[in-house]
Formats: sequence, structure tokens, C-alpha cells
Amino acid sequence: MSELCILHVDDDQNIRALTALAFELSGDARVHSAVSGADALRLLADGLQPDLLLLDVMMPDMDGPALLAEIRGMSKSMPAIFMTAQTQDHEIARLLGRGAIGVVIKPFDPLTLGDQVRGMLRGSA
Amino acid sequence: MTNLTRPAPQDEQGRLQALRALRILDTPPEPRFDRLTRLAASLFDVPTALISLIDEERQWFKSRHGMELCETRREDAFCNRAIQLPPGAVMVVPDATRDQRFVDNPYVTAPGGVRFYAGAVLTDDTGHNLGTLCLIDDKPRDFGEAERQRLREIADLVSEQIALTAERLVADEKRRLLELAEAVSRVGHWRWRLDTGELAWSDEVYRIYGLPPGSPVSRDALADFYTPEERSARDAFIRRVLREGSREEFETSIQRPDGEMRRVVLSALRQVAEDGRVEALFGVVQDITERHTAMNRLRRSKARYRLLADHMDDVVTRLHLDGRSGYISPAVTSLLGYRPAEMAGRPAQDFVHPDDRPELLRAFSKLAGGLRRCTLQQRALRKDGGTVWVETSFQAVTGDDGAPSEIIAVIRDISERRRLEEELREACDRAEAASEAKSRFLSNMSHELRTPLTSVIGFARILQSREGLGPIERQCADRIHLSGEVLLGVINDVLDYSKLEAGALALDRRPFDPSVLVREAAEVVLGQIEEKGLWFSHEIAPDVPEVLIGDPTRLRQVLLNFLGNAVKFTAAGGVSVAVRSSPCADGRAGLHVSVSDTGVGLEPALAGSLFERFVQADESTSRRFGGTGLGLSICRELVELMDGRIGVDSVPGQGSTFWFEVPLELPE
Repeated sequence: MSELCILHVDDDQNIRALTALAFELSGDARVHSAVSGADALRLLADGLQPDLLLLDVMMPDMDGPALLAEIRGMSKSMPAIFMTAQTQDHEIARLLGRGAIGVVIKPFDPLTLGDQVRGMLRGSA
Repeated sequence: MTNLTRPAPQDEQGRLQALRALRILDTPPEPRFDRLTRLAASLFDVPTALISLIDEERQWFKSRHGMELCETRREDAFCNRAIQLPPGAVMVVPDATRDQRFVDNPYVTAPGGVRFYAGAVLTDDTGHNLGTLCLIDDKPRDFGEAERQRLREIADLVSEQIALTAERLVADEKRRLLELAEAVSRVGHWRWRLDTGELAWSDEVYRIYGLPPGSPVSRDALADFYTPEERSARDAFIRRVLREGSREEFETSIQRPDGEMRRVVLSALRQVAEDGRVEALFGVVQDITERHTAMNRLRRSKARYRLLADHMDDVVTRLHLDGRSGYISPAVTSLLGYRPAEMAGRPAQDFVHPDDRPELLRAFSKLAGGLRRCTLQQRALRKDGGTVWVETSFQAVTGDDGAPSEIIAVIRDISERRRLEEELREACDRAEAASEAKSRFLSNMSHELRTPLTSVIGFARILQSREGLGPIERQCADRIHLSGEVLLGVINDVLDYSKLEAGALALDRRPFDPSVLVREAAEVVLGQIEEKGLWFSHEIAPDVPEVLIGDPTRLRQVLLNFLGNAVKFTAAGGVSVAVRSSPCADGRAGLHVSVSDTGVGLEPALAGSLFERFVQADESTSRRFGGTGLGLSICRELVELMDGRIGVDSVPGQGSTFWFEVPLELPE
């Protein structure tokens, strides 16, 4: 299994740490963390080329869907997964409609997050 | 014999018509004719004198002196011969036995038969010979020129009487028509001769005055029909007609002898003789009681409506089809500040806000075009320059020809209502905005609460998974994880409940398999069931559809709640789930899900309130079993949101069955 390069964007420090730790423990992915949409865009502009975007939905200034639209505007077509605390089906359908291949519901189980994400990638391939 | 055959007269048809038009045949004897036959018989000293009229097949005697027969065959009649002669002729047969024409006549050959005959023809105005005045004797005799002349003269008297019959007939017909016309129109006529004071009434006048026709009347007796004032008014009217020939009409009331009041109209004119003297007054009386009563009723009802309109708070107005106002009720003054007289005749649109005028004009043209009624809410202009909201109900009034003739409008001040509506609308807007704000707040809250929980639960999970933890550290990690999960459940409940309260919870609508839903829910609690040593069973009826459309997440939530409670409150025995389906009247499928346990059961009084918020079986429950007390009330709200029903059947000590039933659509 090739190592995944993931760009994770979340304004919450603990979630950033938890996510990074989850992938570190699964040992098959390298996670670059960004604290905001602007931070993520800067990383991408600086040449970062992730295999996957993991985007928190509810963030100040620029939310997940808006950030994804910006990234797509930069002609970057890597797959994206949203992370959200919303559980309602129509909300999840709305997010999938914005071009994500999957949605991870918070709270998520860090022990299975890697499998969950790889499953989504396989499903979209 | 040829001489007895009926000669063909020149205009036999015309003659017969003239005779029958007189309607004299077969009428009873009349003295005016009998006097003449008696006179003739005695004057000429003959036993028999007759007035004979020749009908188509017979001769009939209008008067017969000295003869029993009332008619004979026409062939046998001497007179049939006589009428062939020219008008004015007198036919004389001195001795029938010597006359070839009559020698074989049965009335001649009979014993004591006819010997002498003299007949003078009776001729009408148009020259038709209708019959004869004839003399008959059983002895032959001579009849000289002087006697012929005399017979002729008496015959002329008979002719005159016959002509009189015709005139009387015409007069009778005219009188009959007049009577008919008077009866139909309830108009009678009268004539008052000034020289004799004689007063003549037609039958209809008698009927109007309630007296038997023909009974004697006098001017003095008439006084009894009038009250003193009416009598003097009537006398003055008669004097005006007499003096000036006035053609006016006079309306008055009369009281009949039977007490009934009638309303009559009198009119009269003078009949003036050639020397200029007024010889009579001719007049007509018309009985207008019914019309008068109807008019009075109309006037009263008009007055009543007017009274009503005058005292109503609403403004009542009559408008022409073009919007010009006629009557306007006084309430308009308090509404608009104008007096009715200031508005009368002016177009209604002058008193309406310019922006509202096109709508009003459209309404007028529709009403003129056949629309029966309509209602507008418009701003009316007050005299002081202000505006007032009014609601106007227009009603088209149709004339006799069925076409709209005018418009009745009722105008009501609705400014207060408009103000309340406005307030209500603002309140609604505010409530909607508040609801939206609440939704947004809940969404944020969900995020804000779940984010730290995600860390708590997540880091605890990682900690739990680490090898080499001491037993105390492991216990701590387990406790943190469990507490995190419990807190997540509480937060989910509170958020769900708040969303339901705020009306911010939207149901999903997608296909799902009910048996999968039950299996997945069962898997969640299976661990706990095994831990407590309980049994578990589930049964899905074969008629449950494989695919239904609804919100499986929320249905699972309700089922999980039931299952969780069942496991929580059952110490021994087991838990069973049953699913069945029944068709709904509207074509949807009813999904019925029940969860039965062998637990503590419920008191009936409690069972009813269990689905209300914050209610738990007893206050110690939360201490013993935990829980917010929101679970079942969330279930109820969710099920009711889906148009379903929820309930519990329970016997204390014997367990409970919680159930819900929701109507769900079937895939097409």
C-alpha cells in the first residue's frame, strides 16, 4: 500500500492532532495540517501536491465547501473528503453534491479512520 | 211536381248567413212580435197570422197567432214561394185549391186546409228576404190593393223589429266586451245625469263598491262610503270637473258596506249638449287596492332598508354602473369626513387612493359586464387628506331586463383589521427569523459540542488501543471513552429535541429495507443483551414490503430508543421485536414496529404521560438508569412528524410493549 499524502484542514487544534495521530498510527499516510482555508491555499500554492484533501466543513472565514471550490479553481482535481458534525442525510447529500467523494462524521473512530478513508478512495476510483 | 221544388234564390247562402247572424231562430216568443201578429189577424179578420222565417230546410215561426205548429218543412211553405219575390212584394193566393202551385200542398189537401194566403216579405237592410208576415184562412177570400198596402205596412213594422234585434245584438256584444274589460282592468264606469240626478253604474262599479249589481244608488247614499274629509275632497273634485272640465284624477279610499277598505282612482269628464249645456258627468272608477298595498309594502320596506342603511356603521351606497354615486348612507361622514350631499353624483374613484383607482375601475367594468359581486380592499381618501383602509363589497343589481342596472356597495372601515394583520405578519416574520436563528444556533451548537467530544472520545480510543497500559490507566481510558459516548448521546438527544421544538428538523426521504433496519438496530444492542443474559428474538411478517421510502435514520433512532429502554429495564427474560405492515387508505403502507420486554412494566397512569418531555417512570429512574428523559418524547415528536402514532401497552410487573406505526410510501 503506497503512502498517502493528505492535506487536512481544520481550525480545531485537537482535531488536527487527533487526525494526524490516527494516520500516524495506521502508518500508511503522511498528513499535512492547515489551520484555515487560507493556510491550505498557501500550502498548495507553495507546491504541495496531496493525494487527498480532508476538509472540515464548519470553519470561520472560509468553510470547507468554499475552500474546495477555490482549490478546484486552481485546476487541482485531487479527491476530497469532508469532515462534519452534521448527521442529517440531506446535509451529507449536500456536501457530496459539492464534489466530495465521501463524508466523515464527527466523532469519528481514529482507529478506523484510515480504513474508512481508503474505502472511500477505492469506492471513487 | 216541379212547382213545389225549392227555387234556387240568387244568393241563398248570403240570405241564410244574414238570418243566422240575427240569432233569432228558436228564440222564445216576444210580445213585440206577438202584438203585431195579433193586430194583423184582427185587422184582416183571419184566424191565423204568422211571422215566418225561412231557414235552410224549414220555415220557423217567430210569432204565431192561431197556429199550434212552430215550424214546417220548407218545401211545404207558401212563404218559401213568397221570399223568391223582390223586396217589398206581397204574395196573395185567394184560393189555394185553384192555384196550380199549391193545389197538391199537404196543408191544402188536409181537411180544413189552407185556402187563402197573403204574405208580405220581410227584408233586411242588405236586401235579403228573410221570411214573411203572412195571413192564412181556411176560406177563400179576395185581398184588394188597399189590404195589400196595409199588410205591407205591418210587415215593415215587423222588419223594423227584426232590424232592432240585430242592433240590440251588436249593442249586447259591445256591452259584454265592456263588462269583460271592466272586470279585467277593475275599472267601472258611471254616468250622472244632471237634469234628473239619475246615477247609473256599470256592474264593475257595483263590484268595486261591494254592492249587488243593479241595486239602486244615489249620490246621497254614496256619502256613506267616505270619511268626512275624503267626502269633501271628492265633492271638490266633482265641482272642479263640472266647472272647469278638469281632467285630473282623484285617488281616495272607500269603505264598503261589508267594512272592507278599497283604494280607488276616480276620473271624470263633462258631457256637453249641442247647446253648450253640461248634461251629464261621465266617469270611471279604478280599483287600485292591490297595487296600492304592494306600493305601500315596497315603500315600507324601502323605508326600513333606508333606516338600516342610515344607522349602520358600514357605509351603504348606490352607484351607477360608471361609479357615480347616488344614495350614500350618513356613516360616510365618520369614515371619510364628507357629508353624503358632498359626495352624491361624484365618481367613487375620486375618493380612492390614485394607486387603487385602476383596480376599482376594472371592478366597475366587470360588474357592468355581468359579474355579480366582488370585494376590494382599498385606501379611501378622507376629506382631511388622510387615507383609511376600507373593504368594499360590490353587488350588481339587475333590472327587469336581467342586465345590470346599478351597484350596491357596502364600505367597511378595516384600518384596525389591517393594523392587526400587519402586526400579525410582523410577528410571524419575527418568529420565522427567530426560528431560523434557532436553527443556525443549533447547527453551530452541534458543531461546537461535537468537536471537543470528538477529541475526548477519539483520544480515549487511541489510549485504549495502546499496549502496555497499567490496569488503572486502562480503567481511566475506558471511563473517559464511555463517559464521552454517554455525553454524546445526551447532546444528540438535546439537539434533536431542540430541533424538533424549533421546527428545524427536516425528515429525509429515501428508499430502505425495513428488515435491514431492524437487524442493524438489533446489532447495536446485542452486546448489552448478551451481557445481561437476556434472550432476543425478532419477527418480520412476510407482508412487510422489501422497500419503503422514508427516513431510515430517524426510524432507527426510535427503534434503538425502544430497544435501549427494553434492555435497560429488563433484568431477566428477554426482548423481542415484531414488524408487520398494513395498507393505508391513501395507498401508502403502514409500518408497525413493536418492542416487547419482560421487564418491570408500567403503571397505566404513567404510560399515558411517558411520551411527554422530561417524564421518567419515577424520579429514581435517572439515578438508577441514567438518561435525559427526552428519548421517548423525541420518539413521539419524530413519529408524529411522520404522520404516525406511538404508544405503549404495559402491565406492571409483566413487561411492556412499546410500538409505533408510520405510513410510508412504496416505490413506484
